[in-house]
Amino acid sequence: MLLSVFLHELLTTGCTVLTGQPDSFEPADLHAAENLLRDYHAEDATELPHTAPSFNVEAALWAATYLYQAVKLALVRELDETVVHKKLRDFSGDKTPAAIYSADLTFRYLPDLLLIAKGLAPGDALVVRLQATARQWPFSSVGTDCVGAEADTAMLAHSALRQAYVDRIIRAQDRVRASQKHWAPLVHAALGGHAATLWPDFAAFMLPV
Amino acid sequence: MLAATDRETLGSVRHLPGLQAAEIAGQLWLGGLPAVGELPLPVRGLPAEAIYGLDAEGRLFPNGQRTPTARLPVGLAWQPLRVFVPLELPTAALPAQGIPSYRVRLRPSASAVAAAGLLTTLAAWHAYAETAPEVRLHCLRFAVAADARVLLLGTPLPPLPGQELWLREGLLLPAGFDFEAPLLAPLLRQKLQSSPDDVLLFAADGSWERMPNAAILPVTRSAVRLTVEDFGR
Repeated sequence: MLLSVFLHELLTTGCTVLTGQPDSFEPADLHAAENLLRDYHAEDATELPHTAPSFNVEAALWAATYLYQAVKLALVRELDETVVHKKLRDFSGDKTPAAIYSADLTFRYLPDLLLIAKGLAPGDALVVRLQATARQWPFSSVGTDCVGAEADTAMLAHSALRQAYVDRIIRAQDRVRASQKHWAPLVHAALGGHAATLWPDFAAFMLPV
Repeated sequence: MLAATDRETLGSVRHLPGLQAAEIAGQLWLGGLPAVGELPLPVRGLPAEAIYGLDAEGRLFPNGQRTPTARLPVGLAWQPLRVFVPLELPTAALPAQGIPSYRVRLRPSASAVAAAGLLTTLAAWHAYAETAPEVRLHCLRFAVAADARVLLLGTPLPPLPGQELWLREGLLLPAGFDFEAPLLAPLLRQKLQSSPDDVLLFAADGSWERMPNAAILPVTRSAVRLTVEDFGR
């Protein structure tokens, strides 16, 4: 299956169907995928608070390819750890705000994939790899238990990513992240005096008796 | 032939078929009567000044005479009697009564009720929506008027300058005001609402405006931004 077709289905319907072995992609397909991601970035940026980070082609394509391969590997469970590491490589560029947001265009589906993969075979090489990636990309992994100890400084420093991350924490009611020292004051500020309405048990876990 | 002043008496023969009338020089001429035999009873009751027979040359023969004494005036404009003597509605004995009107008035109220809406400006709303937490936006709905006023509905309302509103019987009133006659609220809603989902917004001076429910949109950041863009064009 073409990467561009995979992306089109994912970004327009939110679901996709893959079968068979992991693929490699032709330049024309990658170019089409890049255009899809660029358009989606422009559309998605209208929902982001403040001014959205710009589009980073490398990060967007890397994350899309990573997700595609991860979905395939989740289907073909007999592939060993070597194949997992060969197909699911780390991002080689800098993790700038643009890279974080561009990767997130597809990495926002990582928590769902992780849930599916853990359900199929918890603790296998693919799940471990996905968890490691989720920890490296906290902006996209809200709602999972893959939480790094240190705050992502690039995300914390960028007003749009910072606010969007807090929004995601509240939307997913992610207690672990909401309790982290860097984020707790920001979550508090976002809820303001309406925490009891907007996150009913917020006070219970933030201020344990 | 009748005097012109006796026009109204023709009403009594208006129902007879085939009659025609014309007016000239202060005289009314009634035609279309049978040439032989007795005249119909209602015709005989008319205050006629003279009754003539008419020949083809327009000569007039006094009733029962064989010698003509005059000619039918030239230029008579004959009209069916129903047209010549049209019906008029009689004047009512009692004057009609106008529909009583009631001017809606609002007065300051001492009761404090939780706000259900906020009337603010598009500039303030846009500035807030640009940076507000998502959770504070998604609980709201908004509508924008042509004069860039923004109505926000939902809870909790954003901390923006503007007029707070509260709900009475489904009607939005300015905070701190109530109807002078509160019992009229359900009646007003029934009279003014064209659809159950419409929102009726009252001002402190008693004026009101209706907003269709379809014009009040769920809040997303993109919806606010696109609305502002539309206003800028």
